[in-house]
Amino acid sequence: MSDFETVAATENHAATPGPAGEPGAPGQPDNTSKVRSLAGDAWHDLRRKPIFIISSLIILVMVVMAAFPTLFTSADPRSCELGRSMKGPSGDAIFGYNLQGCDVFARTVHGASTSIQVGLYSTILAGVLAVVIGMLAGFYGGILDAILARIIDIILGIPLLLAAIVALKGAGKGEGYWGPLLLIVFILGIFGWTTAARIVRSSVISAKQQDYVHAAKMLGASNSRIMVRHILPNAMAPVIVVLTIALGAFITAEATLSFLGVGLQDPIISWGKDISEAAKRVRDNAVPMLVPSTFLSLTVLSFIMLGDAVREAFDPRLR
Amino acid sequence: MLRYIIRRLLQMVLAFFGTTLIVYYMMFQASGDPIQALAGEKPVNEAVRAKLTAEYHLDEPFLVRYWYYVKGLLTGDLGNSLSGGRPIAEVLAERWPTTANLALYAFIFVVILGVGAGVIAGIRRGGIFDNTTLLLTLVVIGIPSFVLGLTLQLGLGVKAGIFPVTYMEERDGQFGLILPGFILGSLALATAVRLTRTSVAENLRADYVRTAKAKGLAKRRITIVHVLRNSLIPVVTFLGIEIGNLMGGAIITEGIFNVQGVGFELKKAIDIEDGPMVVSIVSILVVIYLLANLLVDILYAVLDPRIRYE
Amino acid sequence: MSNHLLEVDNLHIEFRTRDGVAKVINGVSYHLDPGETLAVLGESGSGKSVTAQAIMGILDMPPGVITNGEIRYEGRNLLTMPEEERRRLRGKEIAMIFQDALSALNPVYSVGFQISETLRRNEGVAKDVAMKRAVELMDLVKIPAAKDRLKNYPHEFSGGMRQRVMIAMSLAQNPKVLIADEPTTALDVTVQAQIMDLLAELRRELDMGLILITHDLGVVADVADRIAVMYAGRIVEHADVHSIYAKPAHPYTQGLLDSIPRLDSKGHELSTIKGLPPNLLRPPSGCAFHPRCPMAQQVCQEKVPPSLNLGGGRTSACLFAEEILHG
Repeated sequence: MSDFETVAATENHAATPGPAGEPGAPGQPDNTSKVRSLAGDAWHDLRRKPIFIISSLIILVMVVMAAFPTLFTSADPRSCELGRSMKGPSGDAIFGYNLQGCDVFARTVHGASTSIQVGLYSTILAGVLAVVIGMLAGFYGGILDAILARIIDIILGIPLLLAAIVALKGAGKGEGYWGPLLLIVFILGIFGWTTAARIVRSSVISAKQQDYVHAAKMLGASNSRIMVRHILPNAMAPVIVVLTIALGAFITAEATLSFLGVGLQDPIISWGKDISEAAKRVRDNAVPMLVPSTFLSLTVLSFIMLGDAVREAFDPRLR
Repeated sequence: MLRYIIRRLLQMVLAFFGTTLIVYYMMFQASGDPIQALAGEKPVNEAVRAKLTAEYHLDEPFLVRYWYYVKGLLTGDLGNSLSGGRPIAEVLAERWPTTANLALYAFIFVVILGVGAGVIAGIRRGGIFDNTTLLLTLVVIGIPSFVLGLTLQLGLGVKAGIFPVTYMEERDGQFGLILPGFILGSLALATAVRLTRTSVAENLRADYVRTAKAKGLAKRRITIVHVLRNSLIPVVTFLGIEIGNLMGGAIITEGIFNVQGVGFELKKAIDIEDGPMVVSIVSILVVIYLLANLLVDILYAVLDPRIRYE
Repeated sequence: MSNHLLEVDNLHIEFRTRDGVAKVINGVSYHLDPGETLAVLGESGSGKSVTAQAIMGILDMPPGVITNGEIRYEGRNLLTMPEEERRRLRGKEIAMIFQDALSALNPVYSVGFQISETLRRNEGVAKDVAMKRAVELMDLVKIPAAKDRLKNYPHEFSGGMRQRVMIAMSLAQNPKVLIADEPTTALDVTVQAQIMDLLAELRRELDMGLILITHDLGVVADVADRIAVMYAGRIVEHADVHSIYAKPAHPYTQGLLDSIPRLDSKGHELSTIKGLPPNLLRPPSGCAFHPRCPMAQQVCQEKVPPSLNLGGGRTSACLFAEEILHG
């Protein structure tokens, strides 16, 4: 249902990088064989991976497109004339016009902003929830951990798409531009943090048992200081991987909800909604459906491939 | 074993109340006016308002109303749909076989293609088959399923004419469900490949495989009897949970191909703003999902002797 | 020459990894006769397990590559034998037990299934006969109430009992050679002694050759006939157990002996060997032990010491072996 839950489920036992690489063995006459650190090793690997390079480039293009759509098109995505409905590609509009006579390419370029924003904000919300809750559960353990585990179970018991459908039905549409957008972000974030929280929790538990944490404790560091300064940095790598994949999944979720008609509405431009409308007339002209479909798929695919590449680079067992 | 099952059962009961409470709360409490939420943007006349108030006990306190809702869910009394006024349970009973049929096709694809390709990729880790499959699964996971559905409908249906563009039971029979079934199962299929591959590759490197080699067992026997038996434990777990998930995913596939199942009904209910129908279908899908989880937990204990004595 | 039961002759093995080529076995030779126990001693990474895996034919290749040498069993070179023929020797002629019985046994099958598996598969014995034999084997390794425990799973046994299950499994086809790779490392000290006694007893009763791989000089004293000490993929000293304990002929062996707690040296500080084993991707020049050797001279950095024959089957790969022994 939600990709990232299933992707993460495959790998959630992986992606727990150990402590940074051991320094070169002491007492060795020849020290040119310096052992690279895990992070250094991962970066070394990534730079040479075509999948990593391509997906990073696509994401970069999409982010620029989201921030400065007018760099890519000068046409107004909201100026539509029924007179040019379903007109084919021309010099004015490289992908022609859709049913309402809007410029397909202009709408697609401006749609990037919606997808990237929804993906980014939902990921930030889900990430903050996951880190805070996972950290508390992992660090304090006991009853708090048990209660949070049950809450996570319950939320995982509702598939993301179904939860969002009901929530959006119940909560109404929201006002203006930000209302509906933030409503979707809120719903996706609230229902989408659980997998990442489980990963934070398990990395916190393993980090808690490291010697340097015991040392910090004995030196009298406060719990909050230990959590933020000592445990968090070590627990971040796997959760960032999962959140990268989740970002792709949130973009998919928004597009799917808008496709189903419960997501974003005019005047917000959503790829999902444009695809849904174009699909009804796909026999006459497939281009208005294929263009936003391609952009949407490329964006989601890039985030998922990026996350996957990073995870693979960080997981020494897969080498 | 018994203790394990009882504990799982209790956890499921807790999850049942938790999830239904969340669904109910979101529908009836999150907005100021539950009747308006049920009826959508249409104006609501007094007769409808009175009828809904009575049917959902909207004049009672929240927890009492929730209790009526749970009772209805457990006894199969789901109330009436807003449009047409038919009992929701009756509509669902009519739609159910189609969705089950569709999910069966999806499941067959997942098990045969997904697990099969995963086993081969895991055994030949790093080879061409493995790398190609891995890339392909990422592409399938990356493309939103409604985009995949629309694109394949366009390519294989509208353009190539191999599969029917929209499903008509009398005309297409079982054949018409193959493409929708594949799309419904595609995400689970890709995930099954990756999970199986990882699991097989990990188990191939396990110590007990080295022992089996040292015992002088033939390679084929080591792979089938020792490695696969262990590797498939997490895969079976995943497949069980996926059964629950497939039903929820049907809303997209059935909508695209006009397959008149439960998902189609849900999509229709969203379109015509039939709130009671939406809540009922989602609640039932959530319960199925929970039941699938419970079954998987029990199956897991049967498959893995280490769990039984926990 | 080839009248030994098992003979490893000038074996060379490399691991070809993405970080480079590690020469993990550099000309190892040893032999084993029926009814005797050879202890192969060394730190982790010394190549003692790799040699054993090469004998069994269960070395991971790649990354492992056998570049030179022979392994002869009853005069036949195992390394040039067709794989199918070699497989039939595994378990039946040469069997092996491993360090961690919990992970070395398959978690999802009962011990009865696993003990009887080779009898049924490789020898075509009927199920009930094979199960009866499994009970006999479990009795042989002194598992109490063997018959009732046949259907139990590995995780239901204690560590020591699990190791006995693995021993029973390895004996199913009456092998002539048993290789025990750190069989007691994962166990409590008292259980360690029981397992060692059991192995010694079984070796006597069944007249097997036993190769005992360990890093713990303490456990081999009572059991072994001969000891081969390995360091960085070479055998640095090889002698009968009494000679070694009486007077080591290599500084590394001396270091190992000094690090065993002894009753007669109570109150003395235990010495340890300074430094870490070498990185085999970039081994030290000359003698691999020289960076850690208390007796190292300039010449040790330049010359790889040959294996010196000290008489009586005793060898040492130290340029100063004679001085150590007689000085």
